[in-house]
Amino acid sequence: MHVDRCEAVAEHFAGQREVIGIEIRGVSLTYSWAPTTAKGFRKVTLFPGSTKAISRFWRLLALWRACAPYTQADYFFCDYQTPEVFLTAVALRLLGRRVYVMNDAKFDDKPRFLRWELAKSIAYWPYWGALVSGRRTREYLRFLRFSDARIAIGYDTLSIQRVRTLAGTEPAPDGGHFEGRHFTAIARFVQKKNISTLLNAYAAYAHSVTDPRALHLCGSGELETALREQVSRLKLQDFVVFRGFIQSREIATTLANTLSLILPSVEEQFGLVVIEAQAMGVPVIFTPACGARDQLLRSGVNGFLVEADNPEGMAFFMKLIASDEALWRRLALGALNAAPLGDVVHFVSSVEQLTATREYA
Amino acid sequence: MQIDRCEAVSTHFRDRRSVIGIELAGASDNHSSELTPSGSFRKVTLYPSEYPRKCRRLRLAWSLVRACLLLGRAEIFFCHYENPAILAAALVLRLFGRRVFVMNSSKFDDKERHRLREFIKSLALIPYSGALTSATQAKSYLRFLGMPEAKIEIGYDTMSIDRIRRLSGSMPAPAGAPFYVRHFSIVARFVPKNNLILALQAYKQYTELVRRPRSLHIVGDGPLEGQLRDKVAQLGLTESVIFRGALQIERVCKMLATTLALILPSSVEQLGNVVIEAQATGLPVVISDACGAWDQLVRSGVNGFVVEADNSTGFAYFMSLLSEDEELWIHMCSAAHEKVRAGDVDQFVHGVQLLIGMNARSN
Repeated sequence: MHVDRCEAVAEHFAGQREVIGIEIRGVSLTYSWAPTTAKGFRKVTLFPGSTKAISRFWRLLALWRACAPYTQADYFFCDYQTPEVFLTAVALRLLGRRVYVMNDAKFDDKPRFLRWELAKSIAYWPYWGALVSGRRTREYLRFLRFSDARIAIGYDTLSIQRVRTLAGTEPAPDGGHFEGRHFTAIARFVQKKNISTLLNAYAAYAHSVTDPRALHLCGSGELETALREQVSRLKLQDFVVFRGFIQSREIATTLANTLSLILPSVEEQFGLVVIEAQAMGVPVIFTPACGARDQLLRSGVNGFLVEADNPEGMAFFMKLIASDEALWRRLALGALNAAPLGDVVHFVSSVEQLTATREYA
Repeated sequence: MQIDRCEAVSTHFRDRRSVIGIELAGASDNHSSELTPSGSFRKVTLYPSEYPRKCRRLRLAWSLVRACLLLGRAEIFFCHYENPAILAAALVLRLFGRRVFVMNSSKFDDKERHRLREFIKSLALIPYSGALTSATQAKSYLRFLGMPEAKIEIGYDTMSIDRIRRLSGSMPAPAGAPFYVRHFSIVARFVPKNNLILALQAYKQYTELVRRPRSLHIVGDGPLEGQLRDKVAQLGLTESVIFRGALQIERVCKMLATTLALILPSSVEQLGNVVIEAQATGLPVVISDACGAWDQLVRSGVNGFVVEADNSTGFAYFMSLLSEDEELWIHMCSAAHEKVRAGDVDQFVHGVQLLIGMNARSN
């Protein structure tokens, strides 16, 4: 995902500024993503091929060595909470460099405590400005440190064109026929993604119609066994398809045959899969926790808002969208209309906006 | 509404504890509705005819402290903790060894928050032994400000469901007025945060979605009245939008008895007590995601719909769903009945009981 953003910025500033993407390691320890290649920008991997834990000290040293030589650079950091990023940002700030934080946390992501938040505001001291994902993140970072003028929205974005190219078909309401489309959830199988509630909702939906559409679960994680057992218990084996962890191309092709994406999370900083769904014209059934809803989703326009503890409501909206083609087509057009709001062009314009005030030697 | 709560607590504790409701003034600055006379509890009005202004804060604090101290060993529940006079009174009462509790329904996202102000606010909560809040988000906010979670109970913003039903003079929906004669209703003051311009735009969109649009009754008054009437005329809705003025609760309840669904589009709304009134009369609600009532009382697709406060198209769509589908409406009315006790004063009594019980144990 950062690759989309680096490429877009590199393309925009071609001939004026160089873009260097620095990653700690070549593979993610959280997700099973395949390694990506860089086009148009230079990618630096601090610990290529490493799958073992790397001590904070070595990470700090490597990060500092990678950042320090570029005296005229603008630095954009994610993971501000890690000591190596914080200390590197402090050192760069002390040297007079301009550092920006990229963040998608919201106040309502988890229980907050004033004393801890006051301490956290210090962790933002090194940063001149912030690139955030949406309204709630902007409000949260405004509370923690930054003025509105130093916050730009556009962090969590993807290349809409790339998603469509990977799908290899027209987005909805064109492409796959209404009758042949299924429900899809794309999420890690961890507690906060609330897939168990989705299964209960799906069971209620399946029992309320004569010919239920299938539910495709794309993901993997520690709860997989428990979820498979729940599917058996609910007698849904013929309707729920476990697809495993799928890569970007398969996500796009799956969404090309999806009726509605369901994002039932109890905690979700953003939910990038919403952008992928909207790129393919797919309406989304989403929860209040989903950060993407601030900028991209409107209930009854391009999807439906439903509480994470409300399987009955989820089932209601699944049935509604599955049984009314005219409604689905309207929501699909709503999703298509909203898709450009999740495009990397907003990342580029935010980078430009934040760095515009800077004068370079 | 505080009357409902005092009466319920008074009834519950009957011979064991007496309940005394202290109000600062006999008339409210913000609402047109009159204060209801007290029933089973004793009501003390500190300033029967005038409301103390800023220059009299010390006097107000002293009056409050004196009134509370005269009660002897009492558990004291204060609202308006942000008022300096209340803060001073709470502090003094705490120093005198009284147990003081705060009642609050603010949420973090009600307005822009500032670190320093929140820090000062957290200090203002120090005198309190516990808190009674309206819903989950209000509880999170008080916890954020430093109130331990174990000392926060939910149940503050509640009303007597039985009283509302009596006042409505009708069986709750889906009984009572037939489906096809019911109208949409809005009950709100005419101020910007209640987002009524958007509600009118949504209503206009709704009229374009259905063949026979229902009328919209708006109850309230306020500084935006002229602007709202102009908007109604501009949208060509003068025949179907009815301004009912500011009504007393009896007439609001009677109007709800002929309502299809309550619309509450506020962009800022600590709770939205009218949701309780609507549910007591068996109605589904279409509310914005800013309403505190969402937490405890509303589940989208079950007993109403929740829509973003800037989304007139969404409001219009859900209005059309309820307006056209009697089966759905009946289903949602039944679901409103199932949820209605969460807004009843019983919850307030339960919260009070837990708080004073908890403190009795810890002391």
